[in-house]
Amino acid sequence: MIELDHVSRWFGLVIGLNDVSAHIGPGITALLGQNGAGKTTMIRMITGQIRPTTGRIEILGEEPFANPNVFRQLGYCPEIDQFYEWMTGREFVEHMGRLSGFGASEAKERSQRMLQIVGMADRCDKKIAGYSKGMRQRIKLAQAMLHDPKIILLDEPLNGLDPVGRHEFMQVVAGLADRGKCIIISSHILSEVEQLTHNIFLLHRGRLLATGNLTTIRNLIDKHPHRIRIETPEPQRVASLMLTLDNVLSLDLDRDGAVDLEVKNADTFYPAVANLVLEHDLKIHGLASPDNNLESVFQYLVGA
Amino acid sequence: MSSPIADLSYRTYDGPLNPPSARWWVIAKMHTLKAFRNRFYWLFVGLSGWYYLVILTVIFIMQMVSSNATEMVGTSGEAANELVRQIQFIDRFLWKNQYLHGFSYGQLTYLIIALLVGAGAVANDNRSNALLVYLSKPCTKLDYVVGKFFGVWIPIVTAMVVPSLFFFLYGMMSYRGQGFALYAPAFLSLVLAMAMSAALHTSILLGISSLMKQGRIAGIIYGALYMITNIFTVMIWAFWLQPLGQVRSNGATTNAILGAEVVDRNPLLQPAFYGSIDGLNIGLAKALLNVDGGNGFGMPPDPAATVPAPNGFMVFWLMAAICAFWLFVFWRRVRAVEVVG
Amino acid sequence: MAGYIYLSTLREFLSPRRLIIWIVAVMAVAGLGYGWLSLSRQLGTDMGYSTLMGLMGFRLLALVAAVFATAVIAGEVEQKTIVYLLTRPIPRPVLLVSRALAAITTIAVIGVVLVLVVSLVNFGPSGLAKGMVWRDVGVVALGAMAYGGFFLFISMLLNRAFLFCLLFAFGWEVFVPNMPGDLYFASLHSHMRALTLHPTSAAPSPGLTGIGPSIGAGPTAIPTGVSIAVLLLVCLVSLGLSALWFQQSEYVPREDAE
Repeated sequence: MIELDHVSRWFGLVIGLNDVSAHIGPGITALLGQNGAGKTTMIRMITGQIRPTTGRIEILGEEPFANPNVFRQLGYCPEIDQFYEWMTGREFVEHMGRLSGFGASEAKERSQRMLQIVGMADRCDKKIAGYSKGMRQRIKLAQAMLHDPKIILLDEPLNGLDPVGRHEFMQVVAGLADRGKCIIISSHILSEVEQLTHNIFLLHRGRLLATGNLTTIRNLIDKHPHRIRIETPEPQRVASLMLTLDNVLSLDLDRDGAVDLEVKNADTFYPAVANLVLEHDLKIHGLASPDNNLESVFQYLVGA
Repeated sequence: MSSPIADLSYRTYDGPLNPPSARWWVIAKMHTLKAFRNRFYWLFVGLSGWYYLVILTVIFIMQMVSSNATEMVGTSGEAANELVRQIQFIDRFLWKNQYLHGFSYGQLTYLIIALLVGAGAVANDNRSNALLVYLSKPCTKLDYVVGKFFGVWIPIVTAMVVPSLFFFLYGMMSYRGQGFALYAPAFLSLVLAMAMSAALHTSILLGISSLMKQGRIAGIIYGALYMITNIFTVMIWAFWLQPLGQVRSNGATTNAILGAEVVDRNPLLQPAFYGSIDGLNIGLAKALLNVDGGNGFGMPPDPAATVPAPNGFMVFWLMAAICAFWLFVFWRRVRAVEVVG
Repeated sequence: MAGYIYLSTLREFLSPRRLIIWIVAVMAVAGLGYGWLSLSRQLGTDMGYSTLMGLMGFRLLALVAAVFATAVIAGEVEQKTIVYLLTRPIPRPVLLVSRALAAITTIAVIGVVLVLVVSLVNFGPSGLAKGMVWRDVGVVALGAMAYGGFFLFISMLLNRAFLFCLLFAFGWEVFVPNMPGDLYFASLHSHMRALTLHPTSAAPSPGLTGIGPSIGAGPTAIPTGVSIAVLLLVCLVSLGLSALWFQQSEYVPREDAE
């Protein structure tokens, strides 16, 4: 759906995005990166607000800059908190519906549906000027989904949402992804993005650092062996058996009675552990990999 | 006593703080430097001095012509002498009038500079909740108000003074012997008028800006207020000129009108002429410079069309009262309340 | 789509929230005009009306135009709400022209109200029967188009366009009609004055600071057809250039927007 071909963007002497090539298809993709990594620049180029300095972007086969054909298939929830403050939430969403080309009655009907989905149906008749940050976020989401676009870009959509709102939002997004939509989410809340998707697009200082499945990427990071923690009432016995495995690079018994391991080739390690447990009747209370998550991958890749 | 927060020492910080007198200056300096870094600011400062540039060019050209004509005197007799007398208009110059003209013709650009520097000074803080940041520091409401005032006042007064200073220095170097030095002290009077004029712009703008959340809207309101009051002054001036038009339409020449002193006007017209923002500014400058103005660009004066200087004392206190009112509005609006949106 | 954008923008521009300052301004004009006329009865009603229009009507029209023309796009950029407009399936020129027409309509509406208020103050209700008043309504509508289009173009090119529009409205438009030679031709105000066919005055026009054209003492010898053509051309060319510029430009909300 989205093709980036050697895309670069300069702002005077500052480079916002540096020679990025990628294909983003249906499903949820998390756009990750530190502040200044180029996430917003990339989103602005995909949403046709700015052009690449070099390279080419295609959305559904067309260049997006000022292209209404692309905008018909694209929903955008910007990071900014600015609105037409004198409007009510309902008026704003309906206005966006009319600007998307719907007639008055259809815009009204769609707005009502979207406001219900984002949990604003009961509060949308107050002026936006009096809305909290969470309410503003929900209204932005409603206007982005209003015209049932194929591609939805959400720039920091979880900001300002309370835990219940986040949960509801993630359900909505997951539902959209199941219907074959292409959804790009830029966020700093890695743990919650991880619940939504394992498909990441990691930018660092304008460059594309990694793209693809999180587990696949994690397995490719040889420099940082997987850390695995086994909680057991018989740590010495478990430790001695673990040392028989080729995967184990180091082992540490901690005071709480847990065994901390550093292993390579995690894919073969887990079946081997399962075999050992069955063969030797080991008592294992818990097995966890504290660095097999998005945050660790992010830290390892950007060197943070 | 144990606490879940290990280090509470920040709550009772008793280390050194900057002296209170410096805090307003931090805000003022930040604003001033921001204005000085803006290229548009310097563009308008340059534009505000256009009258001085024109009058110096006129003087230069007239001097060149005059010098050539002087060489002709010996060969052409009385006619050339008359020509020299006519074009040596520099001798007729009332130099301090040029200060007034420079200041008067710069009024529009001073307004634009004031809008550029001051329209968003508080409105933008309202929008971004920056007041919360300011007032959560060891910075009082007074520091904020004084800092903002000088942060806007300094760039405006600088914009007013710089072109005049160039003119003053040029005049002192080139026309000292032709009467310029006699009026050198008038430059100080001009600077005083500029200081008060900048204070008037600053106070009204800050007052309006503090009521708004968008600098653009604050600028529009001040611009509209300035222009509508300016229209009032223009209307009074048109009324001032009416008797001249009537007498002239009866067949009298302008010189005859002046000579016969036939112009009889309502005494309220003169103070009413200064009933606008630029009217007050120009009125104070006239009073401090002790001139009535009249035609610029070296043209002969036209007393019948010139509105005499107002009472300087009255104008000063009126301006001070307006400043106090708008600063009071500003003071009342400085509240550390989060503004959504 | 264009119709909806036009109407929604017009509704926004004509909302009481936006109009309140202009209602105050029109009331101020009415008060000033009344006071002025009561002191100038010897001018006669036609000349009084003409002078008031020159002094207040056309000047205020330029100010109104500066405000609303810069709100078309520059206001959206400053509020950062431009992003909502530019990511909707609307061709940019349609968006711009629709909003610009709404701004011009608003300017014209306020201008016409001004003309009617000045006429009411001067002639009373019988002013509505005066051909001069209705001619001025037309001139104001043309002026709204010319000023609106031109200021819109300025706002496309420059940041802080309102300041430059003020400079044009109260610098250029005041000085240029008083310049020697045919320079007055380069002022929109001169063309509007020429179209009004107001009576001329014998009042002196004192120098560059002069208010000569405003009080009927300046040059008015521009043929009607030429003035209409110039005002329309300024509007159309400005709108066309603005649409071209808007189509090509990037509008990224600036963090330091003021």
